[in-house]
Amino acid sequence: MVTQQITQKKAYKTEKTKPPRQLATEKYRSMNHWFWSGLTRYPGLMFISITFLIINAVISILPGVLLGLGIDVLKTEGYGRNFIIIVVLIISAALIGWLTSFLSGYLWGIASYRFERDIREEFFDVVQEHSMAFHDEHDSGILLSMAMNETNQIRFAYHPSIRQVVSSFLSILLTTSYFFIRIPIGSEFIGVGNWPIGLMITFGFSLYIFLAWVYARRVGPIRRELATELGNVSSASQETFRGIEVVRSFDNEKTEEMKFTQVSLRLADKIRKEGYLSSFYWPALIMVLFTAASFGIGLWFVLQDNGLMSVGQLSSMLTLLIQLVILNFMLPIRLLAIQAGRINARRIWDVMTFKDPLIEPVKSKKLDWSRPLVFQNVSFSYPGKEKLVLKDVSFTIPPGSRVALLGGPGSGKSTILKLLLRLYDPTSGAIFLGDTNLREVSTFDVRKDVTLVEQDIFLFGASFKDNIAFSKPEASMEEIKTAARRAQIDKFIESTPKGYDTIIGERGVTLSGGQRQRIAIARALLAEPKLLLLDDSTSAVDIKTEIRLRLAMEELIKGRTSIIVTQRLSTLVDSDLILFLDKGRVIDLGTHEELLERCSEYQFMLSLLPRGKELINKKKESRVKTPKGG
Amino acid sequence: MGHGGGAGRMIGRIADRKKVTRPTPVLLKALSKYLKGFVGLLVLAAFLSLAYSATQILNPIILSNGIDAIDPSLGKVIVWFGVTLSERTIIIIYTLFYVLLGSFGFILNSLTTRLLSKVRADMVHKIRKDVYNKLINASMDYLKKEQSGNITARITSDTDEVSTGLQVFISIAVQLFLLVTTLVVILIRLPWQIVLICLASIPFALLLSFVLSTIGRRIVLGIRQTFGIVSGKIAESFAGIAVSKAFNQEGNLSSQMRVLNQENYKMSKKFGLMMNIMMPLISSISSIVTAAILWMGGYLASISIGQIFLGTILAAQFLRPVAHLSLSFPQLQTSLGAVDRVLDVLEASPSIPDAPDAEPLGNDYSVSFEHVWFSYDNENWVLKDITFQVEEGEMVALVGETGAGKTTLASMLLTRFYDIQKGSIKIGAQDIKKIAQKSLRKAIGLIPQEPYLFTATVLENIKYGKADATDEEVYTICKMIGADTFIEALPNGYQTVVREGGKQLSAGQRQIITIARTMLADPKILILDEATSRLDAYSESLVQVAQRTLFKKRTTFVIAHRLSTIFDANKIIVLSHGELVEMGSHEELIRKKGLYADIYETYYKFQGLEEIDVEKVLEEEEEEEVELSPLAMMEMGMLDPEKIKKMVAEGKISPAMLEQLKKKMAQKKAKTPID
Repeated sequence: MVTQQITQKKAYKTEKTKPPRQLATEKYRSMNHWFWSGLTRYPGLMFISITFLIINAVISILPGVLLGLGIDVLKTEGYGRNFIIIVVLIISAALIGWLTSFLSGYLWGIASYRFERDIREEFFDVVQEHSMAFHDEHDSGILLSMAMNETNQIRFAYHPSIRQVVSSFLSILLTTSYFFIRIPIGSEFIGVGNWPIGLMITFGFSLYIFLAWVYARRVGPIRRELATELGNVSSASQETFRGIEVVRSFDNEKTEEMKFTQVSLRLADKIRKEGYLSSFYWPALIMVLFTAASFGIGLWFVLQDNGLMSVGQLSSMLTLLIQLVILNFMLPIRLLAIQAGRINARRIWDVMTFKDPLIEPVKSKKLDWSRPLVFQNVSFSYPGKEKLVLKDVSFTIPPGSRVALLGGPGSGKSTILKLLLRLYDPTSGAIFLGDTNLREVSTFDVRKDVTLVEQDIFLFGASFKDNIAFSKPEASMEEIKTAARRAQIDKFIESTPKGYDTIIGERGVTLSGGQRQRIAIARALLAEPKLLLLDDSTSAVDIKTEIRLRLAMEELIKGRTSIIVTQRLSTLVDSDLILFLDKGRVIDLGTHEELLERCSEYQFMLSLLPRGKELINKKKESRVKTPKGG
Repeated sequence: MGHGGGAGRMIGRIADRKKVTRPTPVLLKALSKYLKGFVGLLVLAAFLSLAYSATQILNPIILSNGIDAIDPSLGKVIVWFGVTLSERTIIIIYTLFYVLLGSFGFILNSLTTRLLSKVRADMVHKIRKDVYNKLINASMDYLKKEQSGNITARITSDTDEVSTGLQVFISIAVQLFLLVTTLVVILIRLPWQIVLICLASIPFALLLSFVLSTIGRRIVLGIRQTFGIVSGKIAESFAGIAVSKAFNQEGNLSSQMRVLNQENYKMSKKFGLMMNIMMPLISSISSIVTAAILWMGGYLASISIGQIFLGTILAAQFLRPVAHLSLSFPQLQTSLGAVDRVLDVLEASPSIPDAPDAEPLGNDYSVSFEHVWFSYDNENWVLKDITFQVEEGEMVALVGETGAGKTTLASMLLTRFYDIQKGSIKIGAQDIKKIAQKSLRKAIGLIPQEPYLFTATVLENIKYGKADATDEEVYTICKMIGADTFIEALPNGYQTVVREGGKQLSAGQRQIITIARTMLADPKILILDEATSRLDAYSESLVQVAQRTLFKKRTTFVIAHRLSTIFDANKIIVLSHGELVEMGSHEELIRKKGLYADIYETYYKFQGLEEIDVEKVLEEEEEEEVELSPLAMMEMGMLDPEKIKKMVAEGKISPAMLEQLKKKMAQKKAKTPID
């Protein structure tokens, strides 16, 4: 739970229509389009950054080049004005280098951090927009890790990785060109201007880059396996220690130890493998080889003393090559990071482009709640599964009626509620309100009119006020208080230290089950639903809670169609209709009296409920009496 | 040394630095126990790295010598073994020498990485296994005080950190060696002025490390905090996704998340600012040093070109170890902190061992408590002088307000998760302290309040207490307690994998599965700790019927929350504030008109239902009690250490909460939150 209180931002009214918001999956064509959009989202920042990056690449090879020039000047002219100028130039290059590097890196960083921020929000929005079919089959822990860590990895691919790789390539390019050019400066020259050496260097660097790429391709997969195994170790221990009482009471410590040893060994194996695969970074050897080659050939040229190469140029050449080794020390890590970022982007993109079985209508039809609600041959199985949890269910609910939904575990009660909220669509058959098929109404419009109070109440780690107003963020304090009063929770809230601003949960008050239920009822009251769905399968424990709860429920049910999952005798007796389900089928539909009369399963069910037997006996007695009277 | 790292990660590790409670020698000694098996490999690795760094120093010397060798102005003649070498031969020799040395260095470095990864893999596994085994056999007391998240951190990141620390240690040795030898080479081969220039760069490196480990650390902690807040918000939103969908509030949550995410972005931007100012400084300073050396070379005139070249290369090589070293030491501290925490675990008290004369449990399953006193912390008595006797096959109901000691009595003491301080608990004629725990746990079946399911199939979860059970047995039990209908309705029936502790199941369904699990294990003594509290009335009655048939003649303890359960009991024990206040049958206790009669009136009677005078009950309405969470109480200054102790003992503060409280307390004490 979030431990922060948030000033609620009313970015838009959630009142009547769904706010327009273009999702990333609509905006970008493919994973690649999405991943590389980081370069174009903040074009100004990126452009300036790249400009400085190029300037910086040129400037950062200057000290090495100038060093050679200085040496040559020193040799030919001795210590003098020109020599001092060169020294000053090197220092200036160092300072400008620092400035350009800072500007380039910082601007690039801002753009990348923004990119990270944006894609995290995009992912969150898309995932929230996915239907429950998606959320049922995806582990929320993994989704969270995608939203946080994997977006972070993608940013890491950008900042610093892509920038540094570009910078590495630039410096390789510039160093290579040093071997081709030959610019006269006074009596000296900058650049080697020797094609054979240049071509050799070009070939060397091509090989270098190729091998670095091969290395990243080879090491990348094993790094990912390593991460998976580490995750396994972590979840294995998490599991055991969260359930330590169970482990211990069944005396299963040894079994768990063995299981853990297995997982830990697999991880150790991967660590070793990764070490073996990544230890030999062959490109480093290539660098050694052609530094040596340039050294030998350079020495040879200098020795010829025919103007092909000066000692200064030789020094420059070697300095540049050594500098490259240092610069490119991080290259393999950066390549790996870009690769990892793209793989994460692929995973996230796949999750974002989940093929949702729930399809929103292009144009949403209006709902008329003065018409009856009809289930027409509805069958349902959870998406991707074959097992039917509702089988050919048909019934009609007249508007404004109070319906009790009764059935054992696994009978399909909660599925009916979920279908009515359009969290899912029926697999076959249809739900109608009057003539309108629920499929033709957007989920937004359905949920605007239908409200569910669940059995396991979920409250946010926010204030009473925010929790109640969750269903209507723009509600006035007056409205919130009225809802709380009608839900029988106002006095309790007012008795807490900060009243409506008191936080629920770890940082504030701990609530009993009955209190949570009443908050949920207040929340539902504010939503002013046309159809109320209430799951009330377990009853509260003490009498006062029970009474308060019943009064609150009475307020909520008043004046609207309601469907209540219940095993409470009073509710059953009071309802207009009882829908009795078993194993996904409707067994019977009628009033309490009718069912008691004709349905043997209903009688059996009642006999198992508290005080149920008495009721049945009473009925039997009255039945014995009736013939006398009639 | 491998290809890992990066300054960001270094700062991250520095930010992890925590107070160490043991002196360093103790920590190193403890660590050496694990190093034993790897001494050979480690010495070899260290030796290879030293040899590698030697090649790194020799390389520029070769280059510099080569340059000087062909300089005619120096007029040097090189004589090897009495033979004057031609300049051409010299070039070939130097080049070959460079290639050999470079390749040799490459092989040395790669081998070291390889060796160390083997050491790392084996050692981490060894430590990890030890830590895990220690923890799984640690006392319940210890495990309850630590959150499961913390325990996992001990097993995963802390053990990892120990091995990382080892690598940092080796790298420090290597860097120091590199530093010293570079200095020696410079001293020998170059004039003292150049030595001074090299040394002048040290303050810059120190400044760098100072900034990174102070400001950098603060920013990293800030990033983590904001990151954690965003993460919490997203986690909560995903957990409550059905609610936000039901109320059309996805957009609203998005806006809230955006506000928090922006904070995280701002922090990251600060980090970017700092890093991009500091990191390019290294190469700029090294260029400035190059300029200075070049100038000095020209100024002194007596210095050769090879020497200038050597000076510039070595100066650059000099700067890095200094920067590296200054960041390595704080990192080493982080690792020592991890060793410290791992030692905490390894020295944690183990669970209660079997007495030397322990015997397996006999065939008499009557239970007696004789003057039992118990406290979790030796200060606050949770149970005071409890005495009662339960015959074999009897069912006992425990009744009393929250915190009266019901769970402690049944779930914690009879199972011997904890030992009592005074008195004795006997099963048959055997004191449970003298019973082999394996046979005790086999005999006792506990269904706890909070159902806990493992990430495995429903079938495997039910078989957890009896691995050799057939599938048929499982189906029979499930049919009996009415679990089969909903399990079969699950997407893959009994083969459905329970994920995230059972998010696809309702609380009641989770509870039924744990009931099936215990019933399958077929214990002789059954403890039901509000085991059916989340079931609907219909399912509960099915479970009760099954319990009556399966456990008819078994000794059973029930912590009851419903009237029907109490009616079944042979004996009712009423607890209040840790004392046994009443005991007897339902009728006896009602007649007595004591505490039980009171509780019965307010809690249980209405479940029989209907004809309650609502007006009358509401008239005598009293205020509902506000129960503040410990954190809120602390913020209002309502908590002192005494009170915390008491609440921990009463089970009102969870280990997770205790952790947070401690953190908050520490923050309050130190006025500035960080540093």
